Amino acid sequence: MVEDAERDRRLGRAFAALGDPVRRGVIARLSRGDATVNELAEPFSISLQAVSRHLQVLEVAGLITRRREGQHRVCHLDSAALEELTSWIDTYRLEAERAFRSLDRLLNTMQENSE
Amino acid sequence: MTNPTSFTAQPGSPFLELERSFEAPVDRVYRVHTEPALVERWLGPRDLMTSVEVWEMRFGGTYRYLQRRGGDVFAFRGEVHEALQNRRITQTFEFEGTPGEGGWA
Repeated sequence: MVEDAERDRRLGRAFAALGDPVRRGVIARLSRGDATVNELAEPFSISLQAVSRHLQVLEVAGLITRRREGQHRVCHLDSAALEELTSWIDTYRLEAERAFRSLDRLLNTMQENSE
Repeated sequence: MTNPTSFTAQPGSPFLELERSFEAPVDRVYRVHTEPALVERWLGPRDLMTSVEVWEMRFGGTYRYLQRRGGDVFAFRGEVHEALQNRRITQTFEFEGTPGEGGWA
């Protein structure tokens, strides 16, 4: 389906975006609330331009939005986009746990039948 | 109440470790991983029917199984590097591609 292919591309961009420690640091900071570009850049030893390039990657991946407030450029975490990633990971965790519960039941049945 | 499954990802490595305990003797747990008729009764998501094609749980063996939902068939295979009775099985795992695409995923 076209929707699935589009979702797949989105997930790929988002996971690739999180494959960098600076960008993960930015996401962690924004999860506590909006921040300006300067505030986001502060903990890192790289240039402001380098941070801006990272922010662009996050924006293209749909994980953050940027806006102007007077003199400041403010960044905001798109929680729904992040939620899509965690729920993708969760799907596999839940499937594994379901299979293990089936295994629990089978082992119990075998115990009862002395298999 | 079932035992919890622990998922651990080591930072900087491409590995994910799952750990799960079962309330059963070790030889029974080993059997449900090595006997095809038993494997089919628990492996995989609940909405899929599992059928084993090849199941050679021994050093140098291979395995392959299919899972069906409606008209879709998913195939999984792998190679067995190690199978130590009641101790450890080491195997690879591959998904043979998505329906309609064919080839390797």
